[in-house]
Amino acid sequence: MIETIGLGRNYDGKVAVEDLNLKVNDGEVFGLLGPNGAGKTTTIRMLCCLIGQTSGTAYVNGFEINKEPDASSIRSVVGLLPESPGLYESLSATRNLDFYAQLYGVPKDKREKRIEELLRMLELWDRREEPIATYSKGMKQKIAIARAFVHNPQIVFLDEPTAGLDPAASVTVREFLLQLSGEGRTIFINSHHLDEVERLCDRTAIMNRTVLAAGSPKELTSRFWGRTTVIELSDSPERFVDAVRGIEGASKARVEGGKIMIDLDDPEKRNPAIVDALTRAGAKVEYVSELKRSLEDVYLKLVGGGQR
Amino acid sequence: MNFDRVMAVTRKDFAEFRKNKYILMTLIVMPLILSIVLPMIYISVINSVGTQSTGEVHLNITVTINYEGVSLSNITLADARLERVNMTNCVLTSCIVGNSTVTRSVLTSVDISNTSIQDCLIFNSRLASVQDDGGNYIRGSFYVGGNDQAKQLRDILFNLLLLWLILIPVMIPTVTASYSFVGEKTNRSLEPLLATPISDFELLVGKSASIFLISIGATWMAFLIAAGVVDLLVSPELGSHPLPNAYWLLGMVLLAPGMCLMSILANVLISSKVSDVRVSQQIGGVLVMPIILFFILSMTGVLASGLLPLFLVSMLVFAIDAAILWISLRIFRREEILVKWK
Ligand SMILES: Nc1ncnc2c1ncn2[C@@H]1O[C@H](COP(=O)(O)OP(=O)(O)OP(=O)(O)O)[C@@H](O)[C@H]1O
Ligand SMILES: [Mg+2]
Repeated sequence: MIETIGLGRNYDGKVAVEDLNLKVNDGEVFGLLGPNGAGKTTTIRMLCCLIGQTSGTAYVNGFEINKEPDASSIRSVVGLLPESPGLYESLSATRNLDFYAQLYGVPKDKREKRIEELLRMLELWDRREEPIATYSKGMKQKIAIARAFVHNPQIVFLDEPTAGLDPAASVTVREFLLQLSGEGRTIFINSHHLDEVERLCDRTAIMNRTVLAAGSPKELTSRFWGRTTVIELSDSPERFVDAVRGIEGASKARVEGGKIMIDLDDPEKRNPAIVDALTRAGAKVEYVSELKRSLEDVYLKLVGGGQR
Repeated sequence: MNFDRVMAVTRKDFAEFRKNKYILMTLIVMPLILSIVLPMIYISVINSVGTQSTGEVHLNITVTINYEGVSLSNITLADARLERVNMTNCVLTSCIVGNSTVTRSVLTSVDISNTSIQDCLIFNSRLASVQDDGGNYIRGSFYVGGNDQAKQLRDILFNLLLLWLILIPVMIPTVTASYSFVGEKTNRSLEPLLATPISDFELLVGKSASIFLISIGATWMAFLIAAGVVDLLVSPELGSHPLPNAYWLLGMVLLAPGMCLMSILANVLISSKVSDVRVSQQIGGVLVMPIILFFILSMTGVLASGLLPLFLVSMLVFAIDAAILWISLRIFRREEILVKWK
């Protein structure tokens, strides 16, 4: 479990993170979203005990960050994918991974098995003996991701895992993460890739210096917009919108882009009555659907940058 | 300190060094050049010592008596040829001595070859393959006795050569340490590395150990090559292989490692404040090397004079090493390195 309590960090007086309160449960895949410079990387670095906090504190697996001997305990149960892969370019993929496994004290036979397993999952087993310098950017990223998992850590922090990956490679990595997220492992992902967070994460938080919203992607979208029923008629919705407004709970029905939009708390219960009213008023209903709000919409609403 | 983690870092660095042509060149070419060129310069000096001390020798011997296979004591001889003769307390003038032993005698204008000489006074003579009490062969003619000036001078020159070769363990780390420490920074590999359970101290020790081992390895190779070159060039004249002597061995075992550590630690200090490999190397070359060189040169007089000063200075070097290590450990802070990247 990860819990931050009023966590904050300044760089020479400039605030990067302030009063951050987050809770990530065991076995959860958690997505931290935020614009450039929101403090996502700073947060991960504090949680990995790489840099100190300037206010508040946090607990990772019950150990307090940046406090010995807790920090050592955190380091041994945590895996990290930093912003840049930071691999040893002249060494092979296996040599890179083996080095890290050694630092975590993984015994030799387990190391070999684990490295083979990871490289096969990431489709890089065939190139394992080639120096990293000959790898493409995306391949390096995959090796760096494998490195974060090489010691079977309980908690993994991934700073933009699919940055620089092509769509196919992103799918590979996403499947890889889903596969490894079982086994009760907590995965903490920093991302800009909203679609990915929506698909991958059990819960997410949107931050800009501090947490703006947190919850499952579904919760977030419904919290910010409620649920909206969209009705398409064969002609002139303006004529029929008043018929809808008469129905209980649907008084805020509006016409948008030639469609009737109705924000409803309980669409399953209200929709039949609405359709009924429209038909009685003489309208021909072509489609009844639910407006899909994505995490992206929540994100854009919260951090600015225009609304769709 | 977890020894496995230290070893893991050291082995990883070795693997990286093996792949780095620039480091390999530094490890092979530089010591090779120094270990061959420096001795050759020195040999010309060393060889000139023997003949210079008394200048040209003109012998004018007319043999009138022959002695072979006898023992002589307490006699004065002139114009004699002596073969396989044992002489004690003799005075020889204008003689030819071969395959003999001479003890506590005075020899003037004597042509001596293949002879063992002990506690003698020799004037204006020609010597070839002559053995003194120290088991060393000498040439030319000078005062010979318990106090052999030429031998002393030669030993000091050998000592000086060793001190020059200390350049090698000082120079190699300016290249390798920069790659090793600044390389981790520019490579951005320090961040994932510091997220592992390795401590600052373990990292410092592991990385220093890899540099130390290759530097000392190259240094010892260079010393042995230099000793070989000296022996090769000197043995026809002296008839013996003077190096490595006790002074050299002590230098290799104590002073070279001490100076190597000093160079590594000084370069680590620089590396932690610099984010470019070349800048680090330049500072290492411009700042560290001259300081260390100055240190050696200012001590040369004392250092070259014998084993005890060499031992004491080596101990001083280790004390300075400990002080720099203490400072390094306070400067080598993971947060600083990550946050203050420039
Ligand atoms: N080493 C540093 N020194 C000074 N300021 C820093 C440093 N690292 C980050 N900052 C500042 O802290 C703030 C947060 O940076 P951070 O890297 O945590 O953002 P981020 O959310 O990871 O951004 P991105 O999505 O672009 O990676 C930024 O304003 C940045 O300028
Ligand atoms: Mg970032």
